[in-house]
Amino acid sequence: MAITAAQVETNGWVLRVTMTGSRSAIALAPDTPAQWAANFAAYALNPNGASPALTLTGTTNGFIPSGGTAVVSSTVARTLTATKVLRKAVVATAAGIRDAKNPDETDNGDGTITIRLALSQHVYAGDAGLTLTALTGWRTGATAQTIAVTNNSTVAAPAPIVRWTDVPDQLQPGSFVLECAVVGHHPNALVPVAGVKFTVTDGTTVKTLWTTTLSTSPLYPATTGDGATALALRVYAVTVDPTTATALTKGLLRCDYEVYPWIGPVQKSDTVGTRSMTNLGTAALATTAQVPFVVAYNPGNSWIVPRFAYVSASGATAAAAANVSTTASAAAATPLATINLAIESLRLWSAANAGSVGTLAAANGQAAITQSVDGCRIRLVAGVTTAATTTAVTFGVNTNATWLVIEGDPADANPRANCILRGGASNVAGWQNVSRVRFTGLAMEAATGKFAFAPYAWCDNFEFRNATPTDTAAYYGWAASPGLVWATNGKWWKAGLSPATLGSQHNPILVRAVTVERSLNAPIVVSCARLPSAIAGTAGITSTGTNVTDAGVGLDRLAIGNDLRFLNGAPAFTMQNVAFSALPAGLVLGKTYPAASRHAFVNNVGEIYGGQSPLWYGVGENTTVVSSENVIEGNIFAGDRVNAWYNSLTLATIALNDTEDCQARVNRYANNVTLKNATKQDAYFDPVVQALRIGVALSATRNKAYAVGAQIVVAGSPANVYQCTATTGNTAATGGPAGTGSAIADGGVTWQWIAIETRQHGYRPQALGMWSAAYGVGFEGNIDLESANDSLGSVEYYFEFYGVGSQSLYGDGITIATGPFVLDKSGTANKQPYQVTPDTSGGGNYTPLTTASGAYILGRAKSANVDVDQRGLARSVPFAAGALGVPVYALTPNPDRQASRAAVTATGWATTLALARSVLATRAGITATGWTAMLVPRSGAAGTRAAAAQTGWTTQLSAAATIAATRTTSTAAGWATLLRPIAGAAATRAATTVTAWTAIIGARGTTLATRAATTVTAWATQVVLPANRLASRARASVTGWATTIPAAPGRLPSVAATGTTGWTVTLIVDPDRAAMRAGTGVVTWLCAVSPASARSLSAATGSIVAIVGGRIVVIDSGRIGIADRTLPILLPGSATPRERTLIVTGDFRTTTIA
Amino acid sequence: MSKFCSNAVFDTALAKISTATRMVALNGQPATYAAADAGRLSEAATVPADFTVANGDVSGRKVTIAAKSGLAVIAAGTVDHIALLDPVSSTLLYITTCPAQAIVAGGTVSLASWQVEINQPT
Repeated sequence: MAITAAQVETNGWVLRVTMTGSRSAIALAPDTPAQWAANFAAYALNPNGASPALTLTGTTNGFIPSGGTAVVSSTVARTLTATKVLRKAVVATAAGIRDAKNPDETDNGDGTITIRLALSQHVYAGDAGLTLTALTGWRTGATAQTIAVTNNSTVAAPAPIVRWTDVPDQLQPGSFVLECAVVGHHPNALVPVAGVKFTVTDGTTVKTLWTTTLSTSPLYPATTGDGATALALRVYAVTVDPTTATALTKGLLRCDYEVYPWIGPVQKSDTVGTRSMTNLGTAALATTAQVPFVVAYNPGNSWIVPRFAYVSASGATAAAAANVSTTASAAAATPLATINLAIESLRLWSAANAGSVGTLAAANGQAAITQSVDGCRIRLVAGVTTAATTTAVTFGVNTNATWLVIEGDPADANPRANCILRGGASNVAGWQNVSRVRFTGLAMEAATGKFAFAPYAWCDNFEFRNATPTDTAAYYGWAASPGLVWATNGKWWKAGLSPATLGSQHNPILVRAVTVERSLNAPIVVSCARLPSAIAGTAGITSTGTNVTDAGVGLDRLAIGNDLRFLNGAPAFTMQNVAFSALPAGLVLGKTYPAASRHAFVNNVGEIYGGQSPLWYGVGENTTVVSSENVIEGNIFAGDRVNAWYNSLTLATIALNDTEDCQARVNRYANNVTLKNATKQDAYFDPVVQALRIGVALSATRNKAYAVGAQIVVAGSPANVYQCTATTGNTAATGGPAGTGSAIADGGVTWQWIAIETRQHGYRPQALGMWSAAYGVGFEGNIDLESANDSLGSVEYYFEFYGVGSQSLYGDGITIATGPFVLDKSGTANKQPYQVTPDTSGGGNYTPLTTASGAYILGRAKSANVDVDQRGLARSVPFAAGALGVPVYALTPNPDRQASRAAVTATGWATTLALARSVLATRAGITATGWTAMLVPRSGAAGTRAAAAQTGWTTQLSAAATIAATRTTSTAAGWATLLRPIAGAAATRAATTVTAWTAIIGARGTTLATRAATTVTAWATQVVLPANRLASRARASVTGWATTIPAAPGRLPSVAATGTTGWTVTLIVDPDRAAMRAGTGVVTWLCAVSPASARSLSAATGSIVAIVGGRIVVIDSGRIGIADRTLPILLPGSATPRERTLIVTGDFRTTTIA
Repeated sequence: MSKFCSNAVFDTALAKISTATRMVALNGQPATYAAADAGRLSEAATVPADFTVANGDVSGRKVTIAAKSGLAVIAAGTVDHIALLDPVSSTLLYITTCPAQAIVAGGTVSLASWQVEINQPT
């Protein structure tokens, strides 16, 4: 039984395998989990084991870090697993039989079958080199094999989800930080993406900065506006210094991000790629994610001159430029009575100084700005300042570059508490003709109506509340169109509306480090927290809390690191924006509608409490949606259920139910802890659909309808289904009708015939579009805590596979009696048995217990987009699922090796492998050098030498396997080996106290030391002591050294091309001379060069040099003999000295004497 | 002339180590099984599959003890020793050291894989 072909289907997540063999033996009845399991018994895929049975490997397109940047790669490795054999889709028309819950195997009629299997992740179009490795027994009788896989996927890899995490258009006098939140679909361990590139331009010069690591944001306090526990925000951030060469010019700067994922395409804020400077004044003020970040660069106040105006109730009642000053102290001396007067005075000052400091000069492609109040600061003294309800500022005032700042007086001890800006009795359209205002360091109050913001408003370091302690819905912030609001480091409570979308009047863009009483709803919500619903000492606060963040319309919406406890309402988080129970006007049948795409909900702690039964979030519940490229990761959803990728249409007409379908593609669902995660697909019996089809609404689910006979299905034939309505005093005599008629009397009731087996009427065979989610494609590390002893459970809600490394306790039949958290204060009408019944306050601690109760959570997660938990605790793989972890203490036991060598535990030598000076040692782009040095004991020699004549160690220098170690331009080898004693280790030899060995191994000049096919180098150097000789004895008659340079094995001597010599050099002491005495003028050494043993001197190019009577004799080719003799020769007129005579014999016909 | 020891000899010793069913983290070297049991700061249960005997990296044979993670902190302290215990015979089978690590309740402990190797005599 062997695989003959394999391919990935166009949907990217189904592997279609053709193999020899026949279909599994299955049974459709009984329709029970046990039988379902039996139908799949032939398969043992082991997707969560150490060795999955079917592994798909290949390469994909993405990026890899390189030198602090990210570079493109088409060979990013991927390893996927086949997780489960697909079941057959339900067949509703086969009365009483749903042809599901048995393997999707097709008999090809030629002795082969084709099997469809789910993969752990999507294969993308362009993935190459796909290879399927099958282990023996993955299917009964299957053998191990490896086979190429055809990639038919048409699914494009998703780009990362990215948004800026700071407010644009800020005035910056010098260096500034750029940062953004990044969520990738394929994080590598705890690193979201391969790298992020930031660019900054003034329209001419472009500065580029890279980062490849996450860092904690340096912006804004690490606490919420309520001073609550620090919520670490991890971002990709760089610091830009505009003054470095080439310096950027003053004016508006355009900043962009380019985020390079491990897998998939780059995500850029500049979608056009031209870094356009057009309309830069408003380019960053948008709801979309792919917009530039704009900075008003003002070095040394050279572009925008600082101006101040103060507001005090006792101030001047007429606007005048004279009340404005470029210094705060001067302006404080001449306050104005209202904010309107202050703005008008600033405008007048600018007008009076038009053409000079009153006009913002044209810069960086932007036009000059007249009557500008950009960057001006209006300071409110302590007390209540009431905003006007009518426009009092002359039209023409401009804030086209940066924010007009309205702030509490910094001189006050606590301006955020004492400096209060109160809205007027009614709204004012626009904000005194000023388009953008930053409210900071103060409190804002809605008095008797809405508090009017500017069209672009930034609330920073603030408290927003109603003037009276009430959260009446009519009191909230409101802004003229487009009504874009940024909220940072604040507290927003006692109001009818929190920073949440309200049509065109109130559209929060960034909500960061804000504590809220009510809803949170914005494209990016980070590091925020909810207040308890019941706040001590604040009468009138009755809000139960509604939604935390509604992902709503639009792409690239992020909610990261929020503390979303104290929820007592529903829904908390919805991934649906098309909510309808009937077909809306303009929509057509058979079509899906976009809803939730590219949303990231990451590292949030959620808690619902109270007696309600709210839903955490749902995807495709009572709606028809497309859900794609979302990342839901590392959340705790305590208190109630999640209906993820539900695909429960429940549409009003049977026509809709028969045609509509939801879609799910390329979603990452990882490391989440849920109370109950349910899904419905085609095989879910929906009583609403059933009622629509048969025209009779059953009282509840099919379990409440009685069938004739004991079983729904009898021998494949359906049984009729009846229902009766019992009125008071009437009871049925039996547990169900006995008979086959259309109306059966039974005691006091009458059973009315409804249909032939209702279940097929409750299915939606077309609802297959969310199967990738139902099979856990892109899922990993999740834990669903629905316990097997939970009355809420139902097999109808099973995921077919919950993802690699994930577990569903209910699905696995696991019962847990105690909760897994340190303090569970959740609990609703849908509570689990271990939860409070229900809790009335919320505010639990959802840190997992380190006892057995938390075992299902701890150590489950393997990768994440945030390398800390929601409270800032560093993670290390593996880590706890959910948003909260526990410290992990990593212990590394020391390995033991019982070497038993002379009782020592360490040798006394260390080898240092170093580059020779000025010598290159190139290494071909790889990360390892080409050489390894091994210090090994010599055979038969003790490692610790006592009286032995030789040391016990030798050094082997050899090239590492498959690694070239060539040297390029130098003439000497690039390596030196230094053998020396290590500190503190004795390396004594006999009576001496230290040795001083240095062996230098170098290649010969002009000879490459390259290693080709051989496995050893061509040189070997041995420095040895002759037996019984002492080293370094000063006046010994014979030195103790001999150096032998032998030819390497297998190398020819004296052949130039080989690079090795065949010579032996012997250094001999003159017997009559003292050795090595300094200062002597007599050479005490004789050097004899002789052929190596058994080597011939017949090589044509050889030469012999000898010294004869002080003359150098060069003997050309020819055989020679040299003898050293002492002969008694008497010279005329002299004594009879002893002479040494070198007798040279041979063919002297070609001899020359120099 | 060389020295030699049969792998069977090594394996017998390593098999004894592999009978451990408890691996405990300790402060200081325990002298007895009882001391190791009483002084444990964290503990992992081990099964035969956690011990893998193979050829030694240098020579002879070695046993590799599998990594463990998600272990609860039983008591706060500084771990510097790891011991293998056989509770059936109340035997303190083996002790090794580890870099000192302070642990406190509320965290978990992970133990990296480690090895005991017995080399050929030299």
